[in-house]
Amino acid sequence: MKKIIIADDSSTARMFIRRCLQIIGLGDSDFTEAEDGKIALDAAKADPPDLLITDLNMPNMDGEELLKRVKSSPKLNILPVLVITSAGNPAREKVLLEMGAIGVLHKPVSPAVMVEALSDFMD
Amino acid sequence: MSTSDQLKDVMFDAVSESIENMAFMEVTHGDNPPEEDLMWVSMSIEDPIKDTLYLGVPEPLMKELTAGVFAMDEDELEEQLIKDTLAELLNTLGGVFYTKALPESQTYQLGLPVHGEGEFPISGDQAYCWYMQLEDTTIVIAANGDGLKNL
Repeated sequence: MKKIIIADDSSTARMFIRRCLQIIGLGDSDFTEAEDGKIALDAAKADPPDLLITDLNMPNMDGEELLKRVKSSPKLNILPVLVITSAGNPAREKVLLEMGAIGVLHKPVSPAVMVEALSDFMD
Repeated sequence: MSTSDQLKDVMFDAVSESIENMAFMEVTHGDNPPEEDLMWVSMSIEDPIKDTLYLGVPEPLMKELTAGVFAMDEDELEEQLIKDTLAELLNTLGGVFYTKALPESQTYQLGLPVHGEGEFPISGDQAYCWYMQLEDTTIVIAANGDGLKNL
């Protein structure tokens, strides 16, 4: 069973991401939901997951800082991080990919886009 | 076609894409402001754009929409979940709208959605106001600020 952390301050968005993951065959994963980047980081440190999916725009700690902390942690730096965001911003997306994100998706996310972004993870 | 008409089309596409994806509800154009009391939420668009986007939805429709999103009965819904869905809807459609409306090279950041109290704060003579219908109920989306005016 895969362990997946979903970080988004919106419970509606977290539910949508879970629904997409269910549709693409990851519904039996062990999900942990986090309302901000700090909660997600603490959860990942306590029990490293197989995948972290994060929103960018969150209170307390945003997705970019979360990605930065994950990639600078010896314990977590190989963790795949998928970023989901509302704002389309090519320059910022390039930075996120250079920081180590496996993909940057735009809301509303569809299962087809999700499965493409996670193809390596699912193999 | 004027910039105003183009923005209206872009906003219609953004609302349709967001609501059809979230709640499988069809969106059509509306002509007049909603008459019901509205739940509303606002979100700033920043860095370097300076706009504020507003979304107002009658509460009964918002309950129906949230119930559809979560596959729950309306009487099971907590108010916070309804407000969260309204905020996520604005966040999603705002991102789609500004990505489509602004030049590709234009960067921007979305603020966090903020729920409002009382009457919907924007009218058509103050800002861009778009009316749309979901199942015969009118919703309103409005934007004010310099970002869209300078297009």
